Amino acid sequence: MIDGNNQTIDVIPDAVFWDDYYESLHIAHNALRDTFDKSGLNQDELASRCGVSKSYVSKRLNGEENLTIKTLARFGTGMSHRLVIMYQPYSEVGQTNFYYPTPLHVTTSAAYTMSITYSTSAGLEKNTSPKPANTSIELEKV
Amino acid sequence: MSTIITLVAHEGTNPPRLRRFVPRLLGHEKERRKMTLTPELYDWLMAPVASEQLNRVKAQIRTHLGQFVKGLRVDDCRFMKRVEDRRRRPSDFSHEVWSISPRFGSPQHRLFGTFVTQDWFLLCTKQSRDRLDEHDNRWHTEIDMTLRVWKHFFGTCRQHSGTQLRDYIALNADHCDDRW
Repeated sequence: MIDGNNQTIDVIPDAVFWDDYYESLHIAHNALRDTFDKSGLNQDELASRCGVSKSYVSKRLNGEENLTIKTLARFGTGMSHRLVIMYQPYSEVGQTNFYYPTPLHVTTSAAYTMSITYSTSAGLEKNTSPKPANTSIELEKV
Repeated sequence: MSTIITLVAHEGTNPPRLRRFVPRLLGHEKERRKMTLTPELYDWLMAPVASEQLNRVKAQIRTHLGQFVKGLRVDDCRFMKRVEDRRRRPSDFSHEVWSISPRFGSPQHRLFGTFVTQDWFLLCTKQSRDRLDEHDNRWHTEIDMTLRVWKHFFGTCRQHSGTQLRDYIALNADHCDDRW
């Protein structure tokens, strides 16, 4: 593809967009499950606190339904956590994986992926990577 | 010959008789578990098509399998589970066939396969959840097809077996299936 300045621009294939979309959904789902597991709440309690049915909660915790920012934020409020969303450079992906030691493999891609965590008043949980400048979005308290 | 040597030999032929699935690995991600597919399944999964819905389903499945390969958290209920053979009583799991349930969205699919060894899964067949819901026999058909694929590639060698989840997945796996 040629842009207005006659420079060649690589067009990202649709498959990459879809893969990144579902990757972000998985990240959101993992963050939700981890936070729920640590919250000490059961599904009934979270449903009551959020004013939704247990089935609504169950389907989202089990990954049967897509997650929206509205739902994630609502569950966050129900668990007394603020939803925090940030973009992460591709080169730093996996750095926040707290289950394994960080391998030495490093790439220099300038592109970005998205990371979603829940935070408490004590600060970000689990996500220990340096925050890229001007790429984070913090949602207002619901 | 060990199943691993056989598997690697199948992956190394030209064209490959079995295909290794490696998701797009970014930054610090790496292949911490392994996933091998039949060429038919691999081609279906990777090839873009005209239908946007089908492309989304494929991406949904690719990223789900990617979670396994990257060593992210999995469990034996929602992420993947042992398939129950109800043709026998009590229900039998000795066939060692597992189903993987990709998350998010519809139409839902189930992917069937078996462990070659700890942390190495061979994916053999797929079926839509709607079709499977029609009758228990649909599940049994997938069990039988998976075993046929296994026999085709590995002959009389037995699949990997274990008595608890960590025999199949070494790290980062949550046990929640009370049928063990």
